[in-house]
Amino acid sequence: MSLPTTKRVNSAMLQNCIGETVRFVGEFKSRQHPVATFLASDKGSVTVVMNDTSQYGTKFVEVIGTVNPDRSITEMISTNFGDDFNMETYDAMVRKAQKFPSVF
Amino acid sequence: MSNYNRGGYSSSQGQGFVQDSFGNDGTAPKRTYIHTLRPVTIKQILAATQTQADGDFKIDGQDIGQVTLIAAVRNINQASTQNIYMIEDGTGVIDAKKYPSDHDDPEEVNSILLNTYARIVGTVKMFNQKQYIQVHSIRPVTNMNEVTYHNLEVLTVHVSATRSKVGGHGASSSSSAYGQHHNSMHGVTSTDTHMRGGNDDVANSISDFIDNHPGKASGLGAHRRDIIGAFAQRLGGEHKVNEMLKTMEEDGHLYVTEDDDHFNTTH
Repeated sequence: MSLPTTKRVNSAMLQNCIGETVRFVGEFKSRQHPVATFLASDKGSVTVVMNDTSQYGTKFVEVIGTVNPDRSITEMISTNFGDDFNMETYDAMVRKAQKFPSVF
Repeated sequence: MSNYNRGGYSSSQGQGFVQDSFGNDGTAPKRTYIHTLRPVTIKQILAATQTQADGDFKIDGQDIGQVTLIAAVRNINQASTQNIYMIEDGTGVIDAKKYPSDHDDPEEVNSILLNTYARIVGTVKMFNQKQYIQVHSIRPVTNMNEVTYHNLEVLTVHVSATRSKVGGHGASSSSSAYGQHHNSMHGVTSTDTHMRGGNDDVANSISDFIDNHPGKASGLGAHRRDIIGAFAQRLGGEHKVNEMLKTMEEDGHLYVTEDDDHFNTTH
């Protein structure tokens, strides 16, 4: 599968990424077909539109997908991120990475 | 941050990774093998410059030896001669090629699964105008905090390499603003190769102070009184400065010249 470049985002950044493909790591909260709800690293709530491959096996999941105008994410592929992922540090990293477009 | 030597200069840091001088693509090792390990993103690799065809790559103006990165494996092509992993980390896509080697742990290599993250260490090479990574080692990432860690490390090294550039490899600091004893202390910290004062921020500052002292050129070094004048307040007293000087001398970072009151750096 060939993926475009994807920025790591938290919930606050979704507003500026409409139409883009992003990388989102969230804490899985619930699912109600066809959508699932996640808690983002900045504590915002994010809705993910699932696809056939969506299976969230651990507490934290990384979802790669496109951002819809309503700031939900339509999933392309997801990866389990384990049960002990540190969201605070991750959020700090995501925000810092924003400032270095030459690297990220 | 000033003492952070993580710029990939010292081969004793990093992942506990020891590099030998084999040239695993069959060519003779280069005239000076660069023993550095630099954490990067694929974007940085793709943007790396080459001063001459077949020459070393540079990132942020620094020659790079080996690189380490974390990326998701999106395709695995297993041929008899080599495995080609197509990897992406959100900043770009690149091929990582691995030749089978006797050093390989088959369990580790076979546990690289599609659509999972891996830690890759290797060398940047060019083929048909396109960069690829010649893989030295590839292993699955088991704790995803490593992803966060790696990105932060990339940033730290990048900032260190692009901001606090004072002088080059082994060259003494060309800080031009040096005039007063107390002024240039805090900002001037060389990202120089050597651990010039050990892991100590202050020791490095003292080394810098001596290097910038008028006495450096003649080999005389700096007088104890000058060093005390500059550091007593920061260290909390004259005796503390003396203690520090004694320790640095014992550790081999400084030596006395004309008499016991003149210190020079050993580098």
